[in-house]
Amino acid sequence: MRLDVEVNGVTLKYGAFEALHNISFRLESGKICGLVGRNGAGKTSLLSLLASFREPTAGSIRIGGEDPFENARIMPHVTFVYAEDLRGETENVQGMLEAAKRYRPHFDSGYAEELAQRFELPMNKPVHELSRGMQSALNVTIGLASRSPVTIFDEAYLGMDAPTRELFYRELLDDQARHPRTVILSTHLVSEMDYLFDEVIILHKGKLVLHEGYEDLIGKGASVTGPSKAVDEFVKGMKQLHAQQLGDTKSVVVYGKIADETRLAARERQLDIGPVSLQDLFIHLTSEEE
Amino acid sequence: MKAKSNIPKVAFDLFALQLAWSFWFMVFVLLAYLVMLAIGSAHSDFLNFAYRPAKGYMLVIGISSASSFLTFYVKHGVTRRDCFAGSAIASVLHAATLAAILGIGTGLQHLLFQPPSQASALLDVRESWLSALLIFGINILTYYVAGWLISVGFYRNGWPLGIGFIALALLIVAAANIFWESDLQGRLSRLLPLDPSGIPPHISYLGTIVMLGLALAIIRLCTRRIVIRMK
Repeated sequence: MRLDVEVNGVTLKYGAFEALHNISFRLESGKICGLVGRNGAGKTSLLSLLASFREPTAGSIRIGGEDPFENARIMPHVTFVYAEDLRGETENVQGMLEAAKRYRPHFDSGYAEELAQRFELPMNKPVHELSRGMQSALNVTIGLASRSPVTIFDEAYLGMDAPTRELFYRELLDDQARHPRTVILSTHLVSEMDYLFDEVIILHKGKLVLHEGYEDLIGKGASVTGPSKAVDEFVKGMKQLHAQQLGDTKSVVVYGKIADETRLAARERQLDIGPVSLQDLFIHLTSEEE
Repeated sequence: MKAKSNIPKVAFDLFALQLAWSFWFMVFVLLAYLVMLAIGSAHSDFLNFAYRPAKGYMLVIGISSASSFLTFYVKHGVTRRDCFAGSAIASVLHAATLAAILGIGTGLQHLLFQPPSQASALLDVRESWLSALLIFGINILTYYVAGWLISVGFYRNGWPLGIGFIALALLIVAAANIFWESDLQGRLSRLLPLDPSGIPPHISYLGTIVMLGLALAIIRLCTRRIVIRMK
């Protein structure tokens, strides 16, 4: 089962505060989309709308062509994993997995147990006695094993140590290859997770800055480094995101497709054109206005 | 794609969970009753003894239910509608089962021993088993629904609007007490222009059922499109 996600002109207000402004995008099933934004950008607000936790103030959301809110045909197929506070949860790990199995139509118990073993989750321990990282591992286990056609991870790695996060990323990629679905990963750890993304959405102050394929986006960013004057002449007319100068050497991060001839011309002027990471693009694109 | 209702699943799961809590409640009440019997302080049979604690217990589990169950179920892809309907069915089944189990225990007590004389004519199993258990069940259900209402009020509105729902719940509890001429009689009836003991039983049943229906309607209206809290 495959479900596309379509968001059309969505605005969300909390009283007078506008958390999301006129957001539109479409996610095709089978891809992993990275949702990137600074604190307060509106990532969790957007994801809570997709998960039917709330309704938008304006605009519409379609999952599999239908409004997901209170829709019994859609809601069981959307899983939202977030950094939940499980300090009051007295159920044990086994019980939590069984509860998910009862309500998630595609839940794979064998895979859940396999993941629980890999994450070293103690099946009989009450959840509130688990460490923060272990609780996150449990949430991720439920999220992956639910095999929901739309699976959302919102900062789901909180408290996990580096090897556990790495295990999560590997499992996500492997299971996505076996059972393709629409995965949305919201994260601050851009440099650590960017290799997972097929597409990227950047939100900033409640507005959609961009939605592009990862390769296309990375292909659009470049750092031009060389003698200050030559760099300035070269980047004239380009969208400049950031500039740094050390002595007479200057480095400018530009955003936009650079044609092959332009790259050749740069080489002739002894300018170095290098790639820019998603993290750098994200930092510069979201600090641009300040 | 055909939608599959989750109502039976939610109803069964919540009923089973609440019954598990109630097992411990009944064990504690039974122990307390045995102690009271042993020291000669028990003045009624087991059903009458358990009546007040059961009301308090149902109020507490009603209050603790909504916030945790609603978030849990919607997080697992269950609609608010199915969650409400399943919870409502579970609460009725749970109240009926609790009344039945305590009734059976009291029946055994009447068969095997000579229980202390009745304190209340209302829950007199010697008069009518069915009536005593119905009154017990409907009253503890009222307390559960009152707790549920408070819980929904705070979940949806937080402070201070949630306080309004406490007032509403108190109103329901007070009305139930008037219908069933119990706890508040004496204190409240002096302020009322009517004698609660004069209300015929069919009016009490009808009034309580209408009141429960209204309370459930308010809960449904408040949760129909409720924002799920993320904590």
